[in-house]
Amino acid sequence: MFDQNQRWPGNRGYQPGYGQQGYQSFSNQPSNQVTIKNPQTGQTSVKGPEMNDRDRLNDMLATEKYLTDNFNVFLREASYSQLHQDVSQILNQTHQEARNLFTFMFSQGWYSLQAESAQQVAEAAQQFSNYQTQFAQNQPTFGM
Amino acid sequence: MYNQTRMNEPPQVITNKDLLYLQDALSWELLASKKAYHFATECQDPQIRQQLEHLAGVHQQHYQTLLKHLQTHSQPQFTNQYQQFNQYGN
Repeated sequence: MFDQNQRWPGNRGYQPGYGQQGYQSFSNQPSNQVTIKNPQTGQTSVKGPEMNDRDRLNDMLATEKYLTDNFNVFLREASYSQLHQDVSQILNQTHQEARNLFTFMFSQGWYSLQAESAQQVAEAAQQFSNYQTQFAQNQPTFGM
Repeated sequence: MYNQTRMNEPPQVITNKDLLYLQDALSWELLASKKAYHFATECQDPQIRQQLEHLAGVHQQHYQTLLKHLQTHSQPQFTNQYQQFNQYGN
């Protein structure tokens, strides 16, 4: 909704009937994707044109995301060290507030995550374990 | 004065770029704080209202932190420093 690249799936929870099965943790199923989601709280079930509490939290989360993006640029460009330190602290605190909003919204069942299959994870682990031979320190000639 | 000794890091001077970012960041924080406060007043759920009031406070603190940079650099000892820099610049 706010950002195509957002890592947190935006408004999927708005789809009626989505994820009514309640919370599921990661399971050992080899291929089926597992939905990780809390049961939704009922208080935002009214879907009128007015903003509800969930909309307000979503808007604040979008604000925090906007702030972290822009404070990151500010931090990188700041000149003297005290300014750099203060902006760095503001950036970190803003990240923390975004995280707090996200975890609260997740606890309300407004976010659903898809666990990747164990097989896909194992393949990636294998692939990038093999790539470790490319580091200089892992070469037999290193330091000779 | 400043160009006679080598500087290991930038002096405590607000550059033109710093000022532009500070002005931007102050307006972001002001808007974020006002929005959080406004949402809090509209809120139904007391837990969510508390979260929004907390956010309004956090953004106000950030605003104060940033504003302090502008205020301290408006003090006389800093304005003298700027005059020295201006001499070398011209």
